[in-house]
Amino acid sequence: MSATCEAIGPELVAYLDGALADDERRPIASHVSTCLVCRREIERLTTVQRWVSELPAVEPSRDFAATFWERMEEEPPVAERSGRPSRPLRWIVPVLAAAAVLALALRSMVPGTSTPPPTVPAAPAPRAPAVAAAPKIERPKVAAAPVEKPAPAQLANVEDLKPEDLPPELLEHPELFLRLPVVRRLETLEHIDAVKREQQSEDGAG
Amino acid sequence: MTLSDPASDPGVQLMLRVRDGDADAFRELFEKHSRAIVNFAYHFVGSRHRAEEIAQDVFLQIYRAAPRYEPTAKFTTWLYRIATNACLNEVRRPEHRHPKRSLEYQPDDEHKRAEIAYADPTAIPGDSALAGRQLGAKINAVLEDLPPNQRAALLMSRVDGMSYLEVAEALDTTESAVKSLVFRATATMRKELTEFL
Repeated sequence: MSATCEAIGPELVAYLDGALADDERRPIASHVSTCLVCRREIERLTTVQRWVSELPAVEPSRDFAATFWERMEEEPPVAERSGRPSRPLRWIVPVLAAAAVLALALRSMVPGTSTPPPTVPAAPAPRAPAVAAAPKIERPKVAAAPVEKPAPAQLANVEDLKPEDLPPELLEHPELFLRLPVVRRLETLEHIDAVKREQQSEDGAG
Repeated sequence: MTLSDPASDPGVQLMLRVRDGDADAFRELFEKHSRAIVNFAYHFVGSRHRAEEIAQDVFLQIYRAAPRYEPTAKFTTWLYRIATNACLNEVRRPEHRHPKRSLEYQPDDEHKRAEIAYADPTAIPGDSALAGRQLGAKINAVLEDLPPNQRAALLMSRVDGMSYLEVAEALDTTESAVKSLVFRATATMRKELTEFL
């Protein structure tokens, strides 16, 4: 076996498969046409390739297809799944849960708001102006405010929240989170707290 | 068809219909390709039972991926990529590394498979059914001992008639790497089957 035979040996399979570029194929074809050793090797490789390509094709068992379609019955239709985001915003659940817990904690810190539940307007109230320039600020008229559903009931199972439990528009647009009643209520509670502190400060000064 | 134009591939067109919720298109894909995948998996893992389970898993994966499907290659390229990964996962399982050959490879079973493969007496020298059975058993044994990536490349190019480029896409590697894989696999087969040549 010549040096050329050894050099083209690793290329022979690709040569037989027609996977070489013209400039790679030509020198091999030229060598093979004059080399009996390489022609014999090509015959052996061709035989091996044929044996592999003629491996017996196994027929699936009779119940193969039936078993598959049985498994498919448990799959929801593609159309049902295509409307959902391919990657749900899984971070939204812990964020919402943390915000809710924070809101509950702050709420419990504000006297008079833990029991009975706060009955403040749903819309965010304007923040109090600076204390020095502030004229008399009226307390929110709690009794006259519209009544909301009790917050604890809404947040009782907050740790069990799943993406499916949340409104789809919230998953698509997390910025809507800021409009959630619990977040708006948090702002309101902060406002009430500020007003109370101002009132106490004024009472103390007077 | 070129790989740069997957949209003209009939398999891709069917898959796009599946993505749009067409159940008939999925049934057509299954009927058209499931037998080839069973066959591929059978030669890869050496067990018809496991091959059928793998093929079913592959088509379930395809169905589940349908809503996110984007045609970037021929359908069969994508299909064999999933199938190859499933087969690789199977042969990496500890149970597969120490197969109970007495259960999976009964001599009678091997002979039966070899007879089916090489019933043509001109297929091998010696013109005997016995030699054909021995050859079939030997090919299966050598295939099983090939490194999995060589086995995958050899089966896709030889048995499934895929080009090196298609195999490269299915294996997520380069064409020259496939050339090397197929060469090494064929060289091993040629060496181990010398007695039949």
